[in-house]
Amino acid sequence: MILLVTRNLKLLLCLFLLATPLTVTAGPFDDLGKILGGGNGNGEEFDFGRLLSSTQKAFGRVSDKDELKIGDEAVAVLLGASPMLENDRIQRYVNMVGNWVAMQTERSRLPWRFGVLDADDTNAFAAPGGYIFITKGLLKSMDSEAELAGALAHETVHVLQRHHLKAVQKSAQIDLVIMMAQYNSDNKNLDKLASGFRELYSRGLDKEDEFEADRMGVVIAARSGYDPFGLPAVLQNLSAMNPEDSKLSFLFSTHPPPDERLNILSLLFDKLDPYANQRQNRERFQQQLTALKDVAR
Amino acid sequence: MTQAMRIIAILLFTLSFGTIHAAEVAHIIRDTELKAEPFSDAAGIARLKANTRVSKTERKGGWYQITFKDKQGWVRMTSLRLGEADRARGKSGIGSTLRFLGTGRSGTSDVTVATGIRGLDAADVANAKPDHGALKRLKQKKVDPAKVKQFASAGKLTTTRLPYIQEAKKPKEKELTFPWENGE
Repeated sequence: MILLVTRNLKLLLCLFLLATPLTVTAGPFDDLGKILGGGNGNGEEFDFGRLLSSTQKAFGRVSDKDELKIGDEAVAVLLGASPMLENDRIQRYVNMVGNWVAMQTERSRLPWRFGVLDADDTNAFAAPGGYIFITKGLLKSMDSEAELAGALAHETVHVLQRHHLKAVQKSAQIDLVIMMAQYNSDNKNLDKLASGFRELYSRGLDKEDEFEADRMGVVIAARSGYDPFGLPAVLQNLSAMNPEDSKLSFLFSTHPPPDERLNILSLLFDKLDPYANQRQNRERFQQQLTALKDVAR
Repeated sequence: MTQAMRIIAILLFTLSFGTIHAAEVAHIIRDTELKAEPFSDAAGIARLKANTRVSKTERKGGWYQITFKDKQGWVRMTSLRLGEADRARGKSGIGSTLRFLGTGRSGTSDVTVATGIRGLDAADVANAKPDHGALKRLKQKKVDPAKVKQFASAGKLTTTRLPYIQEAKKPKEKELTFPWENGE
């Protein structure tokens, strides 16, 4: 019987490995466990749940519900560092573009929320559970809705692929699965979570996570009906900016150089060409952002 | 609205967006062919050497429209970088930052808005005190999926099915050369 369980587990692991990293598994892992566990059906006292939980841990997988709570703490940190831009029209516009893009992803059912931070630095952030932020500075440097959609699509990938969850679990030595089980009873855990995200956001994600977000982001933009070269165009703009400019220092210290990102993305260009004539929506973008001109003064 | 007012309004609008497709300095980063159209199989107009200074106007997909001397055509995004070839681009790199603003604040030094610069750097995040009030306000704003779909259709956005493209390998020198470069 143990053998059978072991085989099940292997099967489970294989399934899991097959499903990552380029395709995104949408459903919670727990269900798979129930199905496999239920299939046992002979009163075996084997603690499948415990094994499963250690498997989850190894892959940094927490439930969607817990992910949302973790995301809340991450966002509280970000909003403690920068206020939201007070302009309902722009906030609404960015939410529309962002939600449309998020609808074309494998986690379309998350409660996605997009926000513009009132900061002149050029940057964008994602947080677990479906939170995406872009700074006023980055927004102002853009030229079209396709560029905005490309940047937002890049950020959605960090959520799709759970990059932050994996990173914070690894670097802060936090066992998120266990921590979330005690979420309500222990405020120390919240502090630990907050400090994990402070550290992560100031350090940035792994280079490979950023490249993956670029590669998948252009595809998501194309799925959404946008010209997928919006993200490469944003990178072109970043590449042309003065790297000494203090408004770029945070972005440049937490991301690979834009030229390197462009070079890697350029390998996909041939496959994106068929979608090159999709929408850029420059006019709508510039109309919606007129208010930023006033904000800038 | 009188005719005069209308003209003034149009003028103001044009002024504020006078930078639509404004020319921007750019440079060629690898020998490439200037194409008549933004397609790989379009006719070649001229050959451009690396470090050629050009003027970029428009983008179509992965192609930039550029002018060089008396010629106008298209080059692949991968063959061009915006700004001057000199990588210390402090003096000209502001073009893209402020392009959209289209104000008269172009210049040669770092342009800063005199008042109200709001920073967000690594230290701000590292020292951030979690703001749960701001989080709560953000969460109260829910987005209606029907409105999102309306917004998409107003913007003529239609979805298309496209799987993720297989993980690309790191660029190798060979992959980035062009056929016409081999003959030289």
